[in-house]
Amino acid sequence: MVAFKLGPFEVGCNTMWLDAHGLLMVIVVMCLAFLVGAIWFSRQADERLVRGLKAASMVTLVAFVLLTITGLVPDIGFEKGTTFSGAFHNDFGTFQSTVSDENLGAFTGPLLFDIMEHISLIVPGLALLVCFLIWHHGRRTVEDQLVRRSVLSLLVLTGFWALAIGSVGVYITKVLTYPYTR
Amino acid sequence: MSTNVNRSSGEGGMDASPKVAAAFAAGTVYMWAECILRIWFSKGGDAVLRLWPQRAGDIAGMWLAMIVIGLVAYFALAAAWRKRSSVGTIPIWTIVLIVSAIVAPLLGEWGQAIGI
Repeated sequence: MVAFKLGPFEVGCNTMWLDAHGLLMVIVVMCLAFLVGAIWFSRQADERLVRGLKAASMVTLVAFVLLTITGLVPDIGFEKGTTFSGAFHNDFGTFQSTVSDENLGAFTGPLLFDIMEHISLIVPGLALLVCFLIWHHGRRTVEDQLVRRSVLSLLVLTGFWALAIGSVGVYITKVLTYPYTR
Repeated sequence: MSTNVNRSSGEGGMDASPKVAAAFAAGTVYMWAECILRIWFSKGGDAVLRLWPQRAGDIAGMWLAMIVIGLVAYFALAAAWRKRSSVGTIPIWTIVLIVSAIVAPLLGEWGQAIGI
């Protein structure tokens, strides 16, 4: 595995991959928060707000697609025991994050991973529809009560699924793989 | 910006234009496509028909299949409904989609401990 030193940390490419995956999740959460807040608290929309909504919905969609792709790659070959692992070396020892069918909590790991994999494909579909509605309706997304409620409810469901998946992902890669070697 | 939106006269609900209705319907088809594909493959669907061999890449392949099915559904329905002024209402389509997005992933794991 290719690794390089970054200050006190030694970082491998798989670690960078997992970190990029996490960063995309942060971008998604930020954009979803902006979209929900902007639509929820606004009663009238000027062109600037509409442009912001359109841009945020597009960024959310792209980030969701990339998030799904970066999440799926470690899952390819998962059932055959293929290991996708990253390691942090610091003063406290070596922390190994491993995504594998063999050493990931025996039962709960594969089950959780499968649930996450399954829900994850739903979310880009919801994000695409939200993006379509915002681009199609423009300022009506804010000013028309029914469009507004429709977009908001889809955003809430999208956010709920995203956070549910994110929580499972954090549990798998950060908690379930916690045992470390010094 | 499109203003291709119509208001219904009687019910107070907002009619969905054909493109919006087709988008909602395509989203619903996308959700259920995954459910059906998962149940089919977990019950012994032919790997050759999946267009990808066994496990490697099957998830990405299934995702691609869902996207294509959803896109085909969108363009087919938008074409089929293009002469209609509206198809259903946005609240109804939203409810159908939300129910699908919750139920379809759960039903997709029918009879499976850990899925495909």
